[in-house]
Amino acid sequence: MILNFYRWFCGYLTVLLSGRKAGRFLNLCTKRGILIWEVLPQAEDQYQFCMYKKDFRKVRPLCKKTGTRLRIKKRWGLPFFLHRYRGRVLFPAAFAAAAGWILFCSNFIWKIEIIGNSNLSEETLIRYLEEKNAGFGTSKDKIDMEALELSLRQDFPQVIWASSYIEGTKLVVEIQENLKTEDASYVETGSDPSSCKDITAQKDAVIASILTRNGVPLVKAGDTVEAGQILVSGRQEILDDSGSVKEYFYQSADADITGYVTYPYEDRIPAAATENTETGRQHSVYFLELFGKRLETPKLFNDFLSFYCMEDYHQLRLGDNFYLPVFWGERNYIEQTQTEITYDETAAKKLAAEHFYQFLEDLEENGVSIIGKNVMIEKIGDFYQVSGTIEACEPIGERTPTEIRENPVQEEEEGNAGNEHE
Amino acid sequence: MKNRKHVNHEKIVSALELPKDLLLGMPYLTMNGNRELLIENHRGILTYTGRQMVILTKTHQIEISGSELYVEYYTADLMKIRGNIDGIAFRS
Repeated sequence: MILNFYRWFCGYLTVLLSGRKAGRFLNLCTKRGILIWEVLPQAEDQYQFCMYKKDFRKVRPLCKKTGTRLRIKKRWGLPFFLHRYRGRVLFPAAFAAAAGWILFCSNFIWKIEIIGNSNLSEETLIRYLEEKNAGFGTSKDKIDMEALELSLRQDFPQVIWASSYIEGTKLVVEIQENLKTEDASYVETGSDPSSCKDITAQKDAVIASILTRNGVPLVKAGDTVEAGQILVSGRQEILDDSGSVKEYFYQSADADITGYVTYPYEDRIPAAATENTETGRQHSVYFLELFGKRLETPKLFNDFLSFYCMEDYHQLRLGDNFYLPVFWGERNYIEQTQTEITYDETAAKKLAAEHFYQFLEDLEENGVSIIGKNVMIEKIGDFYQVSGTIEACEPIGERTPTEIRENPVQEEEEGNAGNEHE
Repeated sequence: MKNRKHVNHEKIVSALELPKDLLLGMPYLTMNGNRELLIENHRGILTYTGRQMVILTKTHQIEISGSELYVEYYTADLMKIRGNIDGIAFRS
């Protein structure tokens, strides 16, 4: 492969040698250090072979010496190609310009890929990268990868790991999100009491179950609690023989607490609504975008009375990761008609049920168990009012810092020690 | 008149375990099946057709017979022959 490219780059010839002493000619060539290859016998005393362009002049004296005749059959390689097209200046100029443009573009980021995001949307992260000067069209040299990774972890608390790297002209940002909330995880207290945590109620509820692993439970199943009330305390009182508090011992509370919670539910279904229906007619315009400048084919049609647009675009790339700032695609104008529809009670109930079950699904996705529901629908004026309550059972504990109290016994001891000195 | 003894170079080279191709100019032949033949230390081509080739070396003439024979490349001391090689014979 490399040898073939070298031959093509230097230029070589396929020649036909004829003469009575053709064999001697070949031997003389090798003695003079002239490389020949692909030697094929054609007829008696006639051979075809290949040689470098630069060697062709050197063999003329050998032809004279051996009485042979050398005829060029074909020319191969870059020197002949350039010679053939020497009059066409624009072609190599355009070729060089294209190569230069690609080389220039290779210094910038033309594609951003986000991997591993769950709750953080791609738009949010791309906007964030643009704010950090690592967006579309930024010079590769100006992006400090380590600083970007650090700022991603600092500015988004849910990001527990971030990695960014460049492949071709593509910036790849890989992140891992902590899908558990910080409050849900148990925190070791260690030697510092200020890091100790209580478990408090997130909302008003009736305790369904409580399983304490660490800390002092202050409620039991069946108790009614209010939002913010301490359920399990991280502060334990150590009593002396007289029953008074000797000192406090701090250890973060850890418990599984579920409670019965009531969710109010309200929805409004208008009795009349506008429905969009596609007519099936559509017009398209095609576009080409280069460095943010867009060229569009002219709109040779009248706009529809009511329509919406859909855009489908592609980005030019060389290989898998070498993206360039060239986009092309088509924009479709899709006609639609708007019709006024009126819901009767059955249709309104059906729509209300759809909304309601979607609401329940969202709750269940967040770990809430539905244990009862009571919803009514009634027509009020020109809309249907849906209202009611949902009984649910869910984890209600959240971690809050424990109040630190001074140890009363230590003060007394210090007082006694002072008296003894006196 | 001095009585010169004939010195057998081959015996000396063998005894010293030296490469014969370098010191005696013997041809060095490498074959890949019957499709490729690489000859080192040749002295040129004597006869060359598609069915027969005679290669000169310092010690012998090597006759290669076969079909569709051709020289892939050819330098001062290296020659690669391709084709269907049926036989190789050495002539003094």
